Amino acid sequence: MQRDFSKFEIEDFVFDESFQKWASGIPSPEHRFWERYLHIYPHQTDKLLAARELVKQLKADDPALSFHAMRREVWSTLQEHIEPSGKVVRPIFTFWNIAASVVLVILGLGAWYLSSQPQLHQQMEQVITFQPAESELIEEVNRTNSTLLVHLSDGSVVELAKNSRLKYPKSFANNQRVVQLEGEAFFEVQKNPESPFLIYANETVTKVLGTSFRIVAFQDASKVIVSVATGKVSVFSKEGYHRSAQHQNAAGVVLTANQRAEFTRDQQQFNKTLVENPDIIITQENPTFNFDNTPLKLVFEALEKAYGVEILYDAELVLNRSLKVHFGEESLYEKLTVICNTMGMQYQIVDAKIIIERKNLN
Amino acid sequence: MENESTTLQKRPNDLILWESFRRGDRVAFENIYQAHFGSLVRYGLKISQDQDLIQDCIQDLFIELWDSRQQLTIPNSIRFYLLKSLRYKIIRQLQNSNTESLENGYAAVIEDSVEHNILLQETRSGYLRQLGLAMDQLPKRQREALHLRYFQGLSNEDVARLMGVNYQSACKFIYTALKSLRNIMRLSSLIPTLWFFI
Repeated sequence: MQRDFSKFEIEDFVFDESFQKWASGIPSPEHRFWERYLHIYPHQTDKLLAARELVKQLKADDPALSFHAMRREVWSTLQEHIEPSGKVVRPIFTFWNIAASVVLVILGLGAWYLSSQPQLHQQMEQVITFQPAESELIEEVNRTNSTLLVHLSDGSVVELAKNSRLKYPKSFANNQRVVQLEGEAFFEVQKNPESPFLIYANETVTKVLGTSFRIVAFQDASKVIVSVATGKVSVFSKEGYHRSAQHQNAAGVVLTANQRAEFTRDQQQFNKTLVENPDIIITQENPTFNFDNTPLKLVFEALEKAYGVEILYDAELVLNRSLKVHFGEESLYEKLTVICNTMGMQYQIVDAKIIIERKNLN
Repeated sequence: MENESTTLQKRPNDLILWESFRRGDRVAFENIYQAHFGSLVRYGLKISQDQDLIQDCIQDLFIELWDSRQQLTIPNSIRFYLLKSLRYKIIRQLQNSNTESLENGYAAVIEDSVEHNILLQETRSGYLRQLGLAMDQLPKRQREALHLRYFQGLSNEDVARLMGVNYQSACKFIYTALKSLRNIMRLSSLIPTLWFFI
């Protein structure tokens, strides 16, 4: 259909799918056409600007309409409905595919025995001091070959992996929720900003206000590794955390989506990097990675947004450069490798950021 | 937060999430709920302004989803599937209660509706308020089509499939709605540069 673009009305612009993409900054083959439209038809300036504004407004989310109360109310009804009675064993691999998770790993060599460890009791005593006197401590040990589901008094759920042990009070104190873990567990913590949730695992303390995450903390380990898929957690050395209770500044790291921290136990040091296989963050948007002569800057922006990572590069590096590539289910690193090989660049990960630079020819 | 998806496509995360949910994974179920709740409420309010009804329908939808998870097939898009299921539920409710006619031309302005109150709040920008009021004046089906095409980011084809009308009708709903919006809002006032001369 031949259309007379010189006589486009506001509704014609807005109705046009390629215009809609252009107005909302989404790459499309007609991008250049809309960029140049006003040079060809300057008399259309008012209409085009109004149309662009209308597209933005039609797509805009109104933060005033967030329906928090309704969201919570419906979810609590649903939770009652789906909550299984008693403990349920289920496979652990599914968690790795789900966004709302934080993984804390203590790398261990050698076997971990379920014998009673003097060190654990010592640690636990410290934890106990945070609990109200009347609160009875419960110890759950999973000697089975599958996952054990543990329900805590605040509605949080812990999925305890095999050969793992969790200590928790029968009912939590009002101002904070403290548990002690040895081994591996996946936590689904109920949100409660008034009462932070703390997990003691070896020499680390992980603090969350409400999210789900995994902790693996075996005894014979040289490192603690915390990986975050979505949400935000802070991880401290135990020493640093207890000091901060008095001095208000703790030595720890804050982790967001797809970031991970390694805590070297003997040096008591954190090193921040990215997780092994960053996952696409689950949002309301469906990211696609089909780039058709897309400016490189926009390609990197799309990756940043989809994976919640930061990509750093010199502005000059991407100037006037564009890329045609269609990605499917490749991992973030595979995508970066393809892009870098095509463009004669290389990437490295420094301090949980992706640095892209011109390929070193040596 | 802007919703920038233009078409609904099968995406790996959706599939993995859906599979985990079908196996009874509550975390996956909550992820689906949290990711789509906002979209569903907003869409629901375009069909009916009865917030209690929308809440009940969304709750029923997810309860049924959980209970029948093992019988479910894999949808092309979770969002499309949920939107379509919600639409069906709301319309059935409306037909039963008979208080609001689906095909009626103009939505009644409910003075005490939450949306109306929020409209009056200062937090809402001038443009958004203007647009919200203008959209309220559109015939229901046009308003719904407009919302699906732009806010939910559906293609014309998906809008047609969801509303159960043919492609031409869906396009006509959207185009006519845009034309009406232009007239109602005198859209030139949206141009920032001319703002001061009006």
